Formats: sequence, C-alpha cells, structure tokens
Amino acid sequence: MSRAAQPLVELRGVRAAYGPIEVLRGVDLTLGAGEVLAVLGPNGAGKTTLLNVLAGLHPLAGGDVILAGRRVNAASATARARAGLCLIPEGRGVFPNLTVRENLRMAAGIARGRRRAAVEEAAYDRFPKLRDRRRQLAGTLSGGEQQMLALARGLATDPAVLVLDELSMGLAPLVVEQLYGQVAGMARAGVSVLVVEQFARVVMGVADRAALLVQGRVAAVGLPGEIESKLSSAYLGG
Amino acid sequence: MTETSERVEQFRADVAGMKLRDPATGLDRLLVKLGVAGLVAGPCFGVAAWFISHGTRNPLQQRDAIVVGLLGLTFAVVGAALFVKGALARFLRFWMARLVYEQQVQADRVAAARGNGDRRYPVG
Repeated sequence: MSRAAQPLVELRGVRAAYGPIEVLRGVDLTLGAGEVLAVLGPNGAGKTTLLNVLAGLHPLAGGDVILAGRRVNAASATARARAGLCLIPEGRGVFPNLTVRENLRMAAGIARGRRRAAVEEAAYDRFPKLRDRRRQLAGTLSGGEQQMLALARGLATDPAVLVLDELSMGLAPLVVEQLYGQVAGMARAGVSVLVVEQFARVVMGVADRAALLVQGRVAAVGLPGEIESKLSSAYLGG
Repeated sequence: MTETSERVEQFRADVAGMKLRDPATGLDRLLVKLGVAGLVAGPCFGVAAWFISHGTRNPLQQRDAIVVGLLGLTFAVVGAALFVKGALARFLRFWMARLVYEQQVQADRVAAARGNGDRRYPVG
C-alpha cells in the first residue's frame, strides 16, 4: 500500500474487557488522512472503550492498534498524544479548578513550537466566547463553553488525529451545531477525525463514513446515509 | 495549524520514531526489583561484616568490615526507597486521578450552588 493511501489509524481485531466482561469483540476500523469517521451505537456498545483503547488509556485484550502503518500496542498514551493523537473525552476533560486561560496555557505547553500567546489567540478567534470568559474557572462555565474549551485545548496541540467522545452530550442543539461546524472546519483543514456519538443525526452531516458498533462488534460500515437506515434496528434491537 | 500534508508526514515520522517498550519491563517494575535486591543485599552485607570483624584481630580487616557494613546499610536504605517509590507509583497515579475527579465534582457542586454559570469568580 502506498504511503498516501495508508490509513492513519487502523484497528485490527481489537478486543478489550473490564475484568471478565468483554466489551470489544474484534473491532476492525480504518481512518484515512483528513477523513471524518463517525462511530455510532447504542449505550453500552463499547464506543468509549474503543476510543480509550485507541488513545492507549485502556489495555488491549487482543488485536492491534496501528498508527501510520506501525503497530503501537505497546506505546503509552503519552507517546501517542505527543505524536499527534488527541482525545477529547466524554465529560469535557477540562481542568475545572483552573481558569480558561490556564487551561489553554497547559495545552500550549505541549503545542509544537507555538507560543502560548499565539495558542490563546487562535483559541479565542475560533471561540470568541472564551475570550470573555478567560479569567473564569473552567468548572463554572456552561456545558457548551466547557466543550468549546476542550475543543480549543485539543486544537492547540495541533493534532493530526482528533478523537472526540460524545461531543454533543448534554448540550443544546444550537451549541452542538456550532461545535460540529468547528469539527467540519478542522476536517476541511486536513485533520482526521474519529467521532463517537450516541445521537447519530448531529454527526451525519459532517462524517465521510460511519460505522455502527453493536455489542462490541462493528455491525456495519459505510456512507452515513447507508448507516442511518440501519440505526433504528440497532438501537431498538429489531 | 500547520500545513495538512506536512502535519500528516510529521505524524508518520513521529509514530515511526516512537520508542515502544513492553509494559511488563516498565521502569516501576525494574525499580521494585532493584529495591527488593537492595533490601536483601543490605542485611547480607551486615551479617558478612559481623563475621569478618569477629573472625580477626587485625584492625585493618575490622575496618574493612565496617566499610562492608556501611555498604550494606546504604544498599538497604536505597533499596527501601526504590521499593517504596516503585510500589507507590501506581497507587499514586490512581490517587491523582481520583483527586482530579473529586475536584471536578466539587466544582460542579459550586457551579450548581451558584445557580448561574456566567458569574465570575474573582481569579488572579
């Protein structure tokens, strides 16, 4: 396979478990450069575990995680993050007891060759609301603003692969639309995005491909339109 | 953000340059093993020093025994420190994660009590 055609992320027969309970049962997925892949599925399908395995936060029970053609099963989460794999976890992943500015500065600490002020300015340009809130504790922001901050922190690290877990959780539709607008912008700029969502509709307009995860297995992969038609049976068990 | 293809190439290069290690041979385990070795070797040196010093009337050899004894003490102290460091590292990581989580919950409580996320805290 040529380097250009080689997927940036590849999961081969990935298995993971919590003690005796097997959550992922041989997941195969690929994510190309600049592609947006939506992983959908009902609650408990193993979506978050899949992302944690990819990010190196949860141990593999079997299979391979391959980044840019290299098997990285033994790479730590830190090494994967340093290479450019950025996970924005469910529940926003901001430091609640730090201000917005401090949160951004922490992210700027691992940004490649970018000055803190430049990272901050880029974040404020992308999310102007954060500029007004820069002295406010992150934990006291609204849910949408916290998610904006999480996204801004992720982007500050100049990721090659952005992994988003339930970006829309608990947010108003208008905010979700705005956040996914930013995700679409990142994808246009060439960042590969793997996004997990329980509520499929919001992500379908942004995704290039979608995968349906049911009970730890990929039930279907295809264009968003094709997968959308299979969602109700997967969610309702029909 | 850097140029797309440039960033992708950088990502490929960074992944190719990753140092992969077997988690089973992690530093923590190595430190614990070294610590245990030090803890075992220390008393052995001490016992050896006792036998050396009691087996001779030569003051030079007795001084050697003192050196051996002190070496044993050093091994035991350093070994204990390494053992505690290695053994506690994992526990402390979880402790830190728990601390962050509790702070998050506390901040949520404060935010909920204030009833308005837009109000500012007097910070810095």
